[in-house]
Amino acid sequence: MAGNKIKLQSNDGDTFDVDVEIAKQSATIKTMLEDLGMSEEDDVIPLPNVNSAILKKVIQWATHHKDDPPPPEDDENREKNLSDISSWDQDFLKVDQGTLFELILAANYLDIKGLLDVTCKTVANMIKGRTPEEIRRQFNIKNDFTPQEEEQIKKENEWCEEK
Amino acid sequence: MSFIPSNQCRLEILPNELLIEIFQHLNCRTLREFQRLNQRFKSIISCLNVCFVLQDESDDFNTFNPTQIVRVEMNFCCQSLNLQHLSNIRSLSLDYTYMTKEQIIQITQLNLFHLERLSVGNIMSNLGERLLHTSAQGEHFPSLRILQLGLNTSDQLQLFPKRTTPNNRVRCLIINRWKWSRLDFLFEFFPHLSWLEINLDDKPISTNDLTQSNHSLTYFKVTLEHCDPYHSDRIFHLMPNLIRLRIRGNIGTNLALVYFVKLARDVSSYTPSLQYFDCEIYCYTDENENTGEVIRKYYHLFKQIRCLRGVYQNRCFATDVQTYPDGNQYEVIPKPVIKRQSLKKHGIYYSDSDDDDDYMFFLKYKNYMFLADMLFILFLHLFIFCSSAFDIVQLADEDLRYLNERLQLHDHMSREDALNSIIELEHFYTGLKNDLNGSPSEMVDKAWHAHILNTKMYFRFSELNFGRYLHHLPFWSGNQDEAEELNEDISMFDKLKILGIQNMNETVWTLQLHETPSLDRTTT
Repeated sequence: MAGNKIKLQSNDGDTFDVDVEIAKQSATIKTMLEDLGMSEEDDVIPLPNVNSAILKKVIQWATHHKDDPPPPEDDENREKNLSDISSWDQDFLKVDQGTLFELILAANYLDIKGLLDVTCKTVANMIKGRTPEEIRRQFNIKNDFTPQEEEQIKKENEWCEEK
Repeated sequence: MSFIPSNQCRLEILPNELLIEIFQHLNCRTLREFQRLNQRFKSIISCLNVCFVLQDESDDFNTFNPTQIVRVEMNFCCQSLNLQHLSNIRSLSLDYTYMTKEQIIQITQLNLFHLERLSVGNIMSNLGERLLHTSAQGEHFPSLRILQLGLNTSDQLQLFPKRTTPNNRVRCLIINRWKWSRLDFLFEFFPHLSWLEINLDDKPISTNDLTQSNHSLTYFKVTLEHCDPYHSDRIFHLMPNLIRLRIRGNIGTNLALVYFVKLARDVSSYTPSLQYFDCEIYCYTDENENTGEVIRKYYHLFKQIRCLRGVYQNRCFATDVQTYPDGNQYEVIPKPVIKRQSLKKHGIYYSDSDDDDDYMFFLKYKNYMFLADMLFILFLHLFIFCSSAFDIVQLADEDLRYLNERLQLHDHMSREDALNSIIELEHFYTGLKNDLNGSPSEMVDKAWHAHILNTKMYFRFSELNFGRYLHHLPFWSGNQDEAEELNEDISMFDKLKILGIQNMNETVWTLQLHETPSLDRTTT
């Protein structure tokens, strides 16, 4: 029924009233409501893996995309384009890295394919075209190779040094 | 101030399955670099399904385990490509021109159990008929669903009636050259086809000679070198369950237009389920011919295009159609021209705006891809030229080819991204030509940088279009005053829209690849 709301509770105790149809973009919540027979009116759905700030962002995204057609199935045969992120999503994802990663985790936990796809693409865009050292600095990635291993990998990738 | 806590700023907090999700958006070169970062990434990437687009000798397979490779697109001669090792391959795009003798033998003899899509272009030997037989028997490629063959000629094919095997799962067949008389073979070879794209390059035969019908076919795209208004249409008897028909006729003799009118009247009697009906015309151009001349020659057709709409959602785009037969449901929709024009193969193409398979087409017609790209841009120019009152800047063919190659090879853009960036660079130049000041987006800036880097070409372009050298002004501490003079309250994207440029790609103008915004400027 149109206008029905459910309550979503973040892991830090905040509760959000959300339209059922918006919340059902999350396959996890949809399953809870439909398969597990949770009632829409009374029950609060706890989301122990999502804090309130991230949940707020997720609800904002889902509200904006509530009328989107279902995302297409993955097709490995198709070339991946990184430039097909809508301008709204680009603005929405102008957040710090920590938030971006937490959004990815939340999208994965809540099983929202569209959000997961666009957040992963955003990270891929941040990586694309950068050198290994730039990537290492940007994402604070620790090098745990032994010098011998590193030398071996360097040899295997010698052509990458050209430019 | 951000209200969101960000205490976990490391990519490494993501579990492996999410890193895999991200890595799937990266090309093999970036993945190879990523392997160098730490043990965990190296081990994840070593298990990843990898897609290879082989562009030059630097793209070798050595860093990856062959069983990781699920898609290969070979655009240059790669002797190290041993198909025998690609046991998990699902999509294979080969070009006969670049294949070694061994690779040619392998593709007809190997069992590739997971192969779902096979495309071989520029076939010059009997490989075409061997692949048709092999695919039809379904033994070597039992999972094959999409087969695309680019034949240099269809005259030499020796096709024999075959036994139908339950293993044949081919649903989509695309062949660039075929003969009317051999349509029967295809329907017999591939009885489960639902999608067929084919070019018929000979004169139509009496369709009484064609007996093999196909009831599973729902999509048919046919290019007719010779349109015969009185013999060509009965072919549709053979495919009574069509849902979408796209037909292209050679404009050379003008019979195509007559044929389209006749077909619009009759086609629904052959195919009662038809929902989409698109007509297209095309013409061949010589490589040496001045494309500008060709555009001018067919310019009048753009004015005459009409969208005809029939019962339900039937639509027909046609040119030069003055009258409609009695009893036909099609009528003129009073919209000026179609929303979007695209050009395919060597021709002019008119299409509805919700056509969603352009991308597939370009993939399928890889052999013609480059020319198609170029003509697409050129005709886009024409469209803008027809409808605008401002000065248009057009890149020369050579500049387009160079930028297309450069952006794909050096900036690692996909073909589609490169094309979109070039088109938007032209829009940017058009804005500058019309006294707009502003900054390009990051993607447009990449294209601009690539253009500037070819100093001779860029100098020639600047002189020709601007009468002077069009300078590029990077932002730095020494030119703050100059930069501040530029009015940046309105973005260049909005300025171009206000100028009247239509059909701009908003993503190319708004996508920020990196955190640092583009600060490049022009001087005027």
